[in-house]
Amino acid sequence: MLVAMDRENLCLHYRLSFAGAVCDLKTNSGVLGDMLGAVLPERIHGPSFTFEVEVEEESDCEAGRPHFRGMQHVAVASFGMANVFVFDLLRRHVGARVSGRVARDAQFWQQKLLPITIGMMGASIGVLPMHAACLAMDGDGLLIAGDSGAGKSTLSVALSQSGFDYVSDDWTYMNTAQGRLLAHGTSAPVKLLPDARQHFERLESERVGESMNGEMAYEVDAGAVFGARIARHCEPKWVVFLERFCGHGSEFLPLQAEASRVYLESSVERLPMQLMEARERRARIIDRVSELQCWRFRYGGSLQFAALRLREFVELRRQEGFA
Amino acid sequence: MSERMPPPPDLLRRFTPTPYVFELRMDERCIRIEADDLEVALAVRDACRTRSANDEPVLHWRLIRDSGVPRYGEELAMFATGELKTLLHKSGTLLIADRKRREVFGFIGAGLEMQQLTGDLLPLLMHSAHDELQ
Repeated sequence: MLVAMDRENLCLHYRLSFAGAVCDLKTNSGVLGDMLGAVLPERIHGPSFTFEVEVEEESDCEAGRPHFRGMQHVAVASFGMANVFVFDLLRRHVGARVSGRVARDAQFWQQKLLPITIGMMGASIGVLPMHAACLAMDGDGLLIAGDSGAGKSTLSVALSQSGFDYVSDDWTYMNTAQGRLLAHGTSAPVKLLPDARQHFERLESERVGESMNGEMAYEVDAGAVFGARIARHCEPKWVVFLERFCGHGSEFLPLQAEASRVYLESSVERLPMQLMEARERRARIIDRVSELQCWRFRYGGSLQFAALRLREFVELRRQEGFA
Repeated sequence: MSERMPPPPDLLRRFTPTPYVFELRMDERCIRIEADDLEVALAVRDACRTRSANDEPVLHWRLIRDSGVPRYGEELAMFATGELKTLLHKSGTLLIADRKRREVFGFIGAGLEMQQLTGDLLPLLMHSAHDELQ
């Protein structure tokens, strides 16, 4: 089967905001364009990439198990043969063909494809994915870093219920605009492991499902389920590395700002020589993140206790900033 | 945060070493073939030597043997977008041709025979698609 993307067929055009970048979406599917337009606001300015999606409306193939490979300047994500995404990082172009069924699957795009796309294309469009949750208070951002399982997501929800705006729970996308460092969330849902139910009664009416990495988890809209105020972006001021211990108590230990650099450089993907410009662009953003004030937050006790301590911490830092 | 951070990940297998390298001089051009598997490198080298004189040569090949990949349900899918042509084969093979840069790279499914690679898949990627897409 040979499929050539017919560009004349991609007659619907949308300019969408995507983690600080402009996504020039071209597609033959109004359903897909309108659905993405509903979660990604329109945007005119900023670094851009093209995203061409040809939808085979008559195809009913569901998204298969994800498979990722990359070489040179290209990466490919396939979800079975009917749903293939080709990322050309050199030319800032994504080409895709998907089944009609997948084009209509809002969950697929929000939970999987949009985060994958920004993760793949980030370096080429000046966006740095950071494995950290992000909360904001009056636009000032708190980045909460930590290994998987450290409790970033549950703490994000707890903080969103104690006065913070919710930006992201797991991956935050950093870029610079007009000299300012910005942290962006995507429309991805918050992912909570099944034991989060003990902290949040509202999960009782939600169902656990299999997430993309095979874990069983709740994947829910933080705004709809928890009433969180959603902020699409903020200006990050502080980085906190989570560390839990048995017992009760907490402390904030100042870290060298370089801790953020070490953390970032060990978590970002290596890029090949063909993408030298992207590597340099990414290095400049890492430099900016590495300038943020940085602490290790050690705590033992309840989630609400940790959230309270973090709130006090941020309020104190902000008062110092105003003084 | 861990005290000792692991090295940067290579989730896409971009940096798999390709120790088998051939460089061919043809028509005053240098063709470089890299693979992590000698059988693949030899097969592509031989295919390059016997290519048609009318063909625009691929100047850089980089191919990796890939095990543990999902076998696709369909026989074959080809897909062209921008400057790239992508071929997926049921064996778990993924091949990409960048026409402008004259590069072919990708991953060869563990069970794919070399005859099928050089006799069927690569010609399909390089020629049939080219004809139909122009």
